[in-house]
Amino acid sequence: MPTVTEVRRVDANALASGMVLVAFGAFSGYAGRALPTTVAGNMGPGYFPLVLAGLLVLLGLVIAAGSFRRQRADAVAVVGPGPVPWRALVLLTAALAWFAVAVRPLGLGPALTVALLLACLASGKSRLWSSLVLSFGMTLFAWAVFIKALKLPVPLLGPWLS
Amino acid sequence: MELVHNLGVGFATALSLQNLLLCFVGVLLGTLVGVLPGIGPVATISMLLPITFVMPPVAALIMMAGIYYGTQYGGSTTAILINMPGEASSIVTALDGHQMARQGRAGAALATAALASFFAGTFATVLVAMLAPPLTELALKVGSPEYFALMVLGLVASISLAQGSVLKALSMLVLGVLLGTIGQDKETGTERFTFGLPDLADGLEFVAIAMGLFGLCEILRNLEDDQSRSVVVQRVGGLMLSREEFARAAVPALRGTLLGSVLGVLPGGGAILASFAAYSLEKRISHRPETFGKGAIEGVASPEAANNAAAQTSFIPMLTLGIPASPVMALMIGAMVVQGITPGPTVMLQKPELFWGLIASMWIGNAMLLVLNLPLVGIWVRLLTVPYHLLYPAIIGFCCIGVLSISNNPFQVYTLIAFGLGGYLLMRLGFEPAPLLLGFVIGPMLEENFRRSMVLSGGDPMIFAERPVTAVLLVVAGAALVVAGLPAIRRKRQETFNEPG
Repeated sequence: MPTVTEVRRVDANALASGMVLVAFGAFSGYAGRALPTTVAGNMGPGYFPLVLAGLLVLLGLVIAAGSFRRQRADAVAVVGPGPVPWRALVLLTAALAWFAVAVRPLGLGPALTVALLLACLASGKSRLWSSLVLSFGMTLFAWAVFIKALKLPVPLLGPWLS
Repeated sequence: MELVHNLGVGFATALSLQNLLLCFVGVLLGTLVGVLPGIGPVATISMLLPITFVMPPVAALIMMAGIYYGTQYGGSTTAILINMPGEASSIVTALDGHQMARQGRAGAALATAALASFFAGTFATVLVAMLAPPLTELALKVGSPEYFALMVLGLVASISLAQGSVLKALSMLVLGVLLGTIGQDKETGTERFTFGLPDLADGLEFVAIAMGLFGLCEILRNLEDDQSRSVVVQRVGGLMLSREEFARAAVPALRGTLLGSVLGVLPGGGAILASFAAYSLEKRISHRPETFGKGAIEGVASPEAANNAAAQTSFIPMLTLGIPASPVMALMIGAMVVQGITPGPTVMLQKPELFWGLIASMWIGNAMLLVLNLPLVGIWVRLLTVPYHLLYPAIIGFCCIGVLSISNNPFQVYTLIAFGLGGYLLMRLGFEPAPLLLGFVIGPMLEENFRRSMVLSGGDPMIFAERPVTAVLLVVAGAALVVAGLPAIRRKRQETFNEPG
């Protein structure tokens, strides 16, 4: 049986995971610092969140500490997920944010159609015609089902357009 | 014959025209979602949840339940025909089911899966009907400290049985509970973590969180690999089982049903664990383990029965205690709350037609699925040719409208974005989203019962150690956590999940 050397190698994933948790816990502790932990001898509104924030920091530290453990030199690196889909991240966020901003002033029609077109752009495989058909078709469907049938109180064209 | 009377009430409710129709819509949608990879029951139910607000409560729950168990059927169809499991619970079905399909026995594999699922569904429905009343009675006697301990145990069990790192799952749970404290404190009215935003006064909207974590996040994950997959669909062939095949499948289906029924009740175990465990069991006790992975019909019958049985029995903790065992159950609890029903043991007593109607509808839905899946399998297969770049914009569109219609407030769209992006970051770091959602839903109940217990004891936390039931529950929870975290057990657990593959 061949001897296996141990090496020091920082597990970046575990370190980052731990730090995210510590940051979130610390932020919650800070944001909730003014909440009273006791009210008239009973548990106050600040008690439970404080315990949870502390737990989160603790768990984060334990996970981060695990990243410095010695590892076997022949340990196979865990296969990571695929490349970061930057295009999809940006365009899908833009699509949803546009919808949120536009739905009140412009109405469901323009808000949804443009959001869907932006969403279609997120994949390199979308084609112009299919995207147009999908966006307008789905908006039509949404109008028929949600505004006409289910009486969702949102106009098709908002106050800025009518 | 209390049971017969209760089921009579249930069938009377479930057989009304509206409820039958919605049950059908539910299982139809469920099958569709199960067949399509890249969209699961959680995203679907959260997108449709706002629509259900206009329905009567029982109709809404019947439809949502239909979607849930419908996906279990649909997922196995694609697993068998194209070796691509539509849902995680059908991963093991693909192993032998697809091999059978390549040997020209696709029809037989599909029939085995459908019949085993139907048998398991029927059995589990009766089980739920029998176990629910005594458990409900027990639950009514439970005080706040016991309730708190029970919820802790449920949450801990849900992460010790799940896949992946226990520490990370625990962190997500705590994060979820912490996020659940946002908004006005129920007892004192103090605003917590609202940062002066009036939109946060009522807390975060859990539908928006579910859509972000299971809708947007899932789309981003799928778009990591923006390539087209070619799909080779196997010919279905005859659906009839030979006498020998039937004999080989019958007993494993029964074993799978029993195993799945037990594992389904445990929080977090659910359908995925049940199907993996059933497959391992069959392989271990089989006289011809070498045939597994090469088209053994036992390897289709047992896990398919197990995942469907587990899907049904996972309703037990939700219906009797109001404690969700999975994200889907958390959504159903959320739906009840919106409809003005307090989930928990009182549901069965105050709304018997809702409780028994839902249970009866599960059996009716299973029967519908049998018809939907076997003769119509050709239609489902054709749906697979819908390319993903046409599917995901539609999901985004439904999320937009769905999240807006909750409260007609665009702020919820921002919540969706935040949880989609945040969830994606956490997912890349190896965190699972399910414990976060569970923690978020159970969190407020957890705090309320903890505070009540402390009032009861005059602020002494020893109350949890002094009450025997509470102490035992908490010790078991602690032990489960420690055991699941031990390296040796962790490796073993990993093997159980990896073995079939």
